[in-house]
Amino acid sequence: MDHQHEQATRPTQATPTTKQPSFPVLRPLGDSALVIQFGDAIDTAVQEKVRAFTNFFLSHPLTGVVECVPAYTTVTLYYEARSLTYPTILATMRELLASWQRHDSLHQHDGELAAKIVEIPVCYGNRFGPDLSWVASHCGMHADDVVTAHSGASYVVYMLGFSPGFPFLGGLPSVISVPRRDTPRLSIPAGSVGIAGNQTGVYPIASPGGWQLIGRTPLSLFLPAQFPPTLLEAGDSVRFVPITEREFERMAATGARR
Amino acid sequence: MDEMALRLANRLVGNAETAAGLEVTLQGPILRFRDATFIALTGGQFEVRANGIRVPYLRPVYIPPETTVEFRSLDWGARAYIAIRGGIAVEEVLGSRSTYVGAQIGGMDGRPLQRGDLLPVPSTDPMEHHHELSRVTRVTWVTEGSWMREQNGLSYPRWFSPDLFLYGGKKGRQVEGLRVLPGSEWDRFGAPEQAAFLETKFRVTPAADRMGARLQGERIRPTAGDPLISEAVTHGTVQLPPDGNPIVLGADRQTTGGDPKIAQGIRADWSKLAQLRPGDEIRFTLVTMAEAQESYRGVWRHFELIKRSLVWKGVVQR
Repeated sequence: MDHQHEQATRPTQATPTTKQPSFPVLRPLGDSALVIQFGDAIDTAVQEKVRAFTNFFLSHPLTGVVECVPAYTTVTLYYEARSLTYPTILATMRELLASWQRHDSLHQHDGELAAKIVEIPVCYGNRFGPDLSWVASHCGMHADDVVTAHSGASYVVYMLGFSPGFPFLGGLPSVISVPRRDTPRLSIPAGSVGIAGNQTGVYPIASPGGWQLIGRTPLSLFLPAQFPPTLLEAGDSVRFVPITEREFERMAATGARR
Repeated sequence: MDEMALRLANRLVGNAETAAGLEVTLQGPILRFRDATFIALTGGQFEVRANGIRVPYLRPVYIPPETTVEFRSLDWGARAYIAIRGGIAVEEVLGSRSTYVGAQIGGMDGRPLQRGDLLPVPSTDPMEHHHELSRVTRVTWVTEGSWMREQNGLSYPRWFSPDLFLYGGKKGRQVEGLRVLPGSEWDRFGAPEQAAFLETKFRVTPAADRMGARLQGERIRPTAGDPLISEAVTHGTVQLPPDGNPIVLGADRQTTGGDPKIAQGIRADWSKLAQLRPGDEIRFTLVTMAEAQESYRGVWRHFELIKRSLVWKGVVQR
């Protein structure tokens, strides 16, 4: 039941997307959800469509649709099968997509897609990043250079998933791309920063997982008392800022973790 | 997990169907009631005792003040539901009173109940419910004898609610058919794997909780292909991780997953899924979308009939 997310690492090459006439594809997820697929590769163009449609959908909610889950290439809508049949929701969504495509061509890349830039303080190495030295030796680098590479890059939040508020971040420098652990850990502390394949992410709550842990943030990524209940949203830009253990303790104590 | 069972339990004590209740898994608690109230039990069948008598299921049961209600052995199923008149007034988190242990939110500090916890139950007048029941029942139903059976201070109507009929066949540890639709990656599996998936009796392993249940039987692996891109999964999704042992996801599943989804348990069978316990054997049966959706509407039609019969019996939603 854990670390399914690690299967999903595929090169995030931002190749110019050749327009796939077959997308969006609509298909069922069981008898009470519908998947709308906008592409078949992890890239920024597909992700932009996912975000744009999610925003459009959230501002044009449909009666009977109770939940919306955006991912890398898909938006999944959960509907109330007590009152809606699959053929009905399928026809409705086709219409909504057509009207969105008209809307989208009018409003391409306007303000609503503006994303925030979030800085995440991370204490790298030692007890917070038990795999940092392994990552360094695997990459033939010094541990400090791994930290410099990881904190020097800018990342994009492709999606949230796995556990509440877990960001799947694209943009990891290829020099520090490493395979995940052979045996996943049964419990990883909240705030742990991991890398696997060409992805990096932060575990918002204690959970099992198989990513290589290189540090930990005192920030809370899951904020159940707020709306939205997560620090990050799909489309946000993320930078990691190295901090010392002392700073970590101070930030943790002053309630960075709410 | 077993949403319909909780809805029914709430109905039986006159609560809103979505009021918070208790879910009891495999092993039950001992509950001490300080004040008089009504409770109702549904779902998996435990032997539940109070004041020396067995507390019946599928009925509102009057619990006198200072009563201890004790859960003993589990006869069938895995999860029982207890509704208490007035509901349980824990804080709402993200619009819900549910406990999600994974993220430590909801319920009592986001954790399972512990010895000594005091549940916040809004005080209601149990006699008011008693009167509702007795007034209507006397007039419409009872022609002979007492309408309530009273034993050792507990009392409950002679009638009981029709069952939900969601659990299939005989209630026991036999092979159960869990109806599924083909999953998004059904076609990634070869014909022999698809056949094995539908013919194998899978056993529920001890790794079964609200997040999901790991099964064991034939190992089933997809034909090699492009790696999957993570996308939404849901309650009832049957995933196949690399080891080839299926996992059926439950109410507390993750939002997204990257393992191939061979099948999707239909919503009408989520209650059946909730009642699986380690050691049980299940088999998957393919149905069509139309059959799945019609079955689910059937669940609700049946539930509406139960609700109507309860109104006749004097159980009125508050």
